[in-house]
Amino acid sequence: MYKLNSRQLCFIIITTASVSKLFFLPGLIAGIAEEGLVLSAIINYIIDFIFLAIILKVYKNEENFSFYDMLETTYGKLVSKAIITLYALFFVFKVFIPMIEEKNSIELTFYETQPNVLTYIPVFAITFYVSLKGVKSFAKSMEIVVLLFFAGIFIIYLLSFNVGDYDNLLPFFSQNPKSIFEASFKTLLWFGDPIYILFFLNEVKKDKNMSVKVIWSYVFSALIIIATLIIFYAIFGSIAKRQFYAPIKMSKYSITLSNIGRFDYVGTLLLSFASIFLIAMPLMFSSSLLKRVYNFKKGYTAPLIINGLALSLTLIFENGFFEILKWFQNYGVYILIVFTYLIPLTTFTFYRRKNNATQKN
Amino acid sequence: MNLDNNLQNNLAKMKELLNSDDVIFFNLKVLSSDAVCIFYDHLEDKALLGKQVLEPISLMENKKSCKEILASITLPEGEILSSIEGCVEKITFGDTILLIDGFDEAISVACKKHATRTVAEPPTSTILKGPREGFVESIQTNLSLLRQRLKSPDLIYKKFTVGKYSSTVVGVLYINSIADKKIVELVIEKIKNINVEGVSDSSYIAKCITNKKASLFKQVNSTEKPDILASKLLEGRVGIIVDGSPIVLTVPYLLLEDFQSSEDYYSNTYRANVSRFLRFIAVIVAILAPAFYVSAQLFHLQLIPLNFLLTIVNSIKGIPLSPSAEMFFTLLIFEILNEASIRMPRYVGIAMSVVGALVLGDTAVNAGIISTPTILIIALSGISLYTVPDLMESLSVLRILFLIVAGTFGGYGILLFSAGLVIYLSSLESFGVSVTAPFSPFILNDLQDGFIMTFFDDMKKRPLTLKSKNSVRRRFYNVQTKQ
Repeated sequence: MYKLNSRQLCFIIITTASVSKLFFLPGLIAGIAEEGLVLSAIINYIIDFIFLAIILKVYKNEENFSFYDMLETTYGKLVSKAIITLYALFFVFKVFIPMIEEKNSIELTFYETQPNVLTYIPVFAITFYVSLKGVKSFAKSMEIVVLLFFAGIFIIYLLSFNVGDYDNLLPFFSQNPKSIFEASFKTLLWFGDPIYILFFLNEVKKDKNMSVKVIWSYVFSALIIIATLIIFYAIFGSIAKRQFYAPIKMSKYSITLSNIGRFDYVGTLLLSFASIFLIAMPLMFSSSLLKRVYNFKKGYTAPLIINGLALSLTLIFENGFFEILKWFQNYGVYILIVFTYLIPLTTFTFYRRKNNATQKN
Repeated sequence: MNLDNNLQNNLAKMKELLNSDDVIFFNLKVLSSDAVCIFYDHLEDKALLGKQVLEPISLMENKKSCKEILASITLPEGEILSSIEGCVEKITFGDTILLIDGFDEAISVACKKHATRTVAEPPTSTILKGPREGFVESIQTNLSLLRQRLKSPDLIYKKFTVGKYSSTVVGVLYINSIADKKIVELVIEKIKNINVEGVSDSSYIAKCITNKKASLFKQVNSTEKPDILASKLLEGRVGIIVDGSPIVLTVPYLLLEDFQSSEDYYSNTYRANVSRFLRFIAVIVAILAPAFYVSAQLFHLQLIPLNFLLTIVNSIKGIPLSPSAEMFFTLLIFEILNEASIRMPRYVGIAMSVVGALVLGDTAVNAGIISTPTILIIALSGISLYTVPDLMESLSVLRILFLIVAGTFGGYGILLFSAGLVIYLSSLESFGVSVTAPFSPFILNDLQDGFIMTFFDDMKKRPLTLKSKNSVRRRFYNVQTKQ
């Protein structure tokens, strides 16, 4: 069986953990926390880093790390199968926001006038193909995508970093802590990347320095987002809350564009390209989880079910995006907390207890 | 069927199997016994046969064994055979069989005559600087060209016969101390498993040994030049040489190879890097320019800078076809011209250029059927395609696919199709090696000869992608003498 190497995992983390927070998050977090947007993001990152550290500690202690085996050992076959099925559904749920973000950012960039079905169907055709090909092809693709992502973010930074007024971020600590924490809570949906790392660790070759590499990759991704938030708020200040799809808005005020044309589109295009892989990743996991539980004979059955479900849900709910987003922020976030943090943490705890008890006996 | 002592019996059986008018049964006396020389008329060098085979035998006095008779022949390739089938096989390969009455064995000697063209510069890979020799259709000549470049006993040649009727000689070439044993074994196994009636060219072998038969991209590379083959073998690749084909195959194949030209290594490194960058840009232009133009016209006119947009609007005014139909029509004309120019007799070429460029191009624009930007884009795309000639087949199909996607789904379609292409290419392997290496999987060492080429002195290691036995090219470089 193909095992990912640590470099591939790092590239996946850097790309997906960054691109997922680039489009909608800056406007949303600025809307609540205003100058304190960076602090709000840091709070969420602290939670994720603590959780990531726990995952990596467990990974280090286990000779053959497998979250699936842990679930089975802890809860038994039947319950673990139910939990894995729920995770498969959770990953479908995780796709909704990046999918709509991608669709809207493309509409803004390309002035796309096509019916939504014509946009969604090809996206899910690609995600179906990724799910079919599995983690090996995905990891190898990400080694190319990471280069394009860097090129995209570099273009956006280059065109935007000197446009803003960095005084907009001052006074840095003036914001009411309540609004900072509220912003953190309401944007938690865009975080929780360690859950993907947890599932990827099942597919990775054991590496002595894995923990260090993973942590640094996540730090690097966090720095990209913090830099984006700073530049974004420096450019827009108090009107930042109305500026969704940050990369598209940030770079268009550069004086360079009047000389060489809308070069910023290249950057946005490259980020949208990376975003396709962000959408594909949870669906790929979801398909492989479903295949694991139900052991389908044909390789395409699970990807077909999952991608079909994701497409149907997106088509049904896409018109009420802002209403659904509100629901996600108020209630959906609890689902995220349960699946991203609670289930893994309780599993680790019970697994350890069970292991200790077995060793004593 | 074994041979027996009676010449007439053996002859009858042979005639039954070799029922063709160009088989010569030449009767003669050897050591006062009746004997017959059997060979194909046009495959044999008769002067050589007379001088090196029959003359020494005629000088022998006492009756001797087949082994002793063979020893008196002054040709290196000879064999004693005891079966009728063995004799027939040797004759079809161009050898001569000598049957002597009273012997239950036959003597086979190779005095073949090869009709082959002279070594010349291959038309598919002409260069300004560097060796101009190209392979020909004779495997013997090709092997000699290679051996002249790699004078080492480590260069191994393993011979196989492929094709039920053609019995084509297929050779596997590798450098024993460099090539990965697993890849060599895999190549040999695949060649042994080929089951075809005939092999007209090495491309048949390439198709038979690839894993993904329906792939748009090739998984086996090819070359017509011995210097390139020698370099590839030195990198740890395995060569497959086929009798009757001037094209030698090499595996594993990397997509990057098509962006590398032999001239890069013979010319200035800076110029080589500029050329590589241009090839890369040209490939993007070749496949994406028509698609982007169509999607911009159909869906995203706002993306085009205003001045350029005004020029385009002026040019497309009154064009009856839709942007995608116009682009397809122009592309169709270009592909037809391209196809015709390859196959037509050379002396019609000039007339064809006039018809293609002036009559079709100029008249179509003047008649208002197609616009000038479309012609410009197709011309640019068409020329760009030939900067990487080895990828031309795949890229020309990709260009059409991108055009269809752009015309249907616009710019986002291009983006999605590119994502699909990245995934597809990342999953494509050639003999266990990812074709997208050294980018995916990322191998830092191999990037020294990637899109940017480092200096020759710095390339101390062979490509690690190829998992060669000995990855170090040289441990130290020659000590420079003070001038």
